[in-house]
Amino acid sequence: MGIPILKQGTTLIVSLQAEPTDAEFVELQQDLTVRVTQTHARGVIIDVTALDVLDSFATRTLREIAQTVTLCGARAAIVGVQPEVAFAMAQLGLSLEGTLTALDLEDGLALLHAMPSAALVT
Amino acid sequence: MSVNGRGAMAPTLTNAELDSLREFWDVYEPQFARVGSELAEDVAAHPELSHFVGAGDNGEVAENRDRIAQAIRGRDWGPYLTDMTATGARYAEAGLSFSSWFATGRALRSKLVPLLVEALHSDPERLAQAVRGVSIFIDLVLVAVGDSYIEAKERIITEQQDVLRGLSTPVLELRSGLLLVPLIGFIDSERALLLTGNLLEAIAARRAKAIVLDITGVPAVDSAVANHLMQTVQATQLMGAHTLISGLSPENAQTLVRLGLDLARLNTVGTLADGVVAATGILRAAEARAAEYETALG
Amino acid sequence: MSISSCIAIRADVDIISARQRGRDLGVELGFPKTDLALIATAISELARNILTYAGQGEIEVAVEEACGRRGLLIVARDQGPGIADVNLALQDGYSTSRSLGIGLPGVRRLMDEFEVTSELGSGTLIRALKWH
Repeated sequence: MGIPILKQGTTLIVSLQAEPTDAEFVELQQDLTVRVTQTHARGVIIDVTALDVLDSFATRTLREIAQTVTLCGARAAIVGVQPEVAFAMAQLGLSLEGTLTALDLEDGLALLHAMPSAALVT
Repeated sequence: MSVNGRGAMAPTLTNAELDSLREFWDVYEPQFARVGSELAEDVAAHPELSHFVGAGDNGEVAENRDRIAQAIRGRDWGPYLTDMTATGARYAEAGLSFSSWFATGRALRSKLVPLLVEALHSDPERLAQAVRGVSIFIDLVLVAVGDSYIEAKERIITEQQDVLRGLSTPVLELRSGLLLVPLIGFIDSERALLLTGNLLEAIAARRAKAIVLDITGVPAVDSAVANHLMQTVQATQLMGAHTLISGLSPENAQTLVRLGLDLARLNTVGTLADGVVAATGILRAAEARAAEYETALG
Repeated sequence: MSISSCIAIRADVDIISARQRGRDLGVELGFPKTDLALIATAISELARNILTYAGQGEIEVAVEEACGRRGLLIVARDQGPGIADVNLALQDGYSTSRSLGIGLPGVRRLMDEFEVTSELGSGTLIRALKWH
């Protein structure tokens, strides 16, 4: 249950429709790690197009999820940050540094597709 | 004594001050035109003032004298102060320097004092009063002109800033997905915010992946500016775009490094041309990726 | 049309409610979408700070009018431990990497007016305003 995770080829796609609660975030992280391992997914895309706010907590958590997914052997990308959301984040000094980003789902899929498998090294 | 030059309000003067002014004006009034043309001759030699401070024609001279008479004798300072306020604004708009017009006050004083000495040397008390009157008068004038000068200057600066801000954030699309932003002028936090906002909207609207932010035209690049730029770069990254900073002079680069800034986070390239080349490379890679993905799907 | 709304903050779901209420009010006041994002983010941060430091509190959103201008007022209240040194907490630094939240300077940057009243042991009151 919780946030739906879709599969497209070797990529898992999560489309957040509303900002998840803390509990939903935790559940998402767990679900993703399980699914990545089970399906040998090479990529995970988290689509935040529908989110109108990304506060410090959400930003940090998304980065953590991306890191966790990478540790499981897949590449993660955050896509769909809206201009006004990016603007608010910039003023707060929030960044997704260290995490792959793309404008939207289409670009994100192309980006991950081109990447070699994430090796299990730092 | 207080004067509000902006509202050209009447000054509050003590009786003693009023007497001093009258004493001084009694000597000056009949000589007003002559002193005026002498001053004009002196001013003619001054590089800045010669354009702005002339003797005026006879009509103007008479008007001016009458305004002062109305103030000192008639106790109606309105017309004279209004005229001085307008003068101050005129000087500011003409770009006259503060020291230049201030010097006219000194010049006037140096003309008037000998005049008074000549007329009143036999009556030291009246002479002293009249000399005090000169000071009071010139102070009044300088404050009225000065206040209005400063107010006009501030207004002009604000207008200039607004114009600059309007010119400040052109976002040019060089080719599909490549944006060029040539920055000109000083970058303060307000301008940096405006720039970032515009850029982010442009990335969404034009699906841009590579941006060249050229700072050749930015005169002062200190750590504050560098931090603003870093924030802009970071913000564009959130939307999957790469921003390169071009046009950072070697001297500025050295200064920033010495200040402890990590220039790598600024994504600097050399010249604007270098920036466009690098940005084109980024775009080509993205296009190749997209094409490859299309093929894989097909 | 809502004049003022008070949202109790006791759990993270309340953060979302507070944000939504703030956004709705912002829409009523006719703020552009950039400002709506800033307002929602500010509320989110303030609400989260309440949860993190005080455990519970409340967020109030209201319309503020002055000199013919209208604005959106956010008031964050809690009876938590308070801030020992408000000036220190408001100091702007470029490194916003405190492990919890992004600190008050960040929120202040998002809003037009910002005021913190707090004392050790007597809770915290934060007043933030964004003019249309």
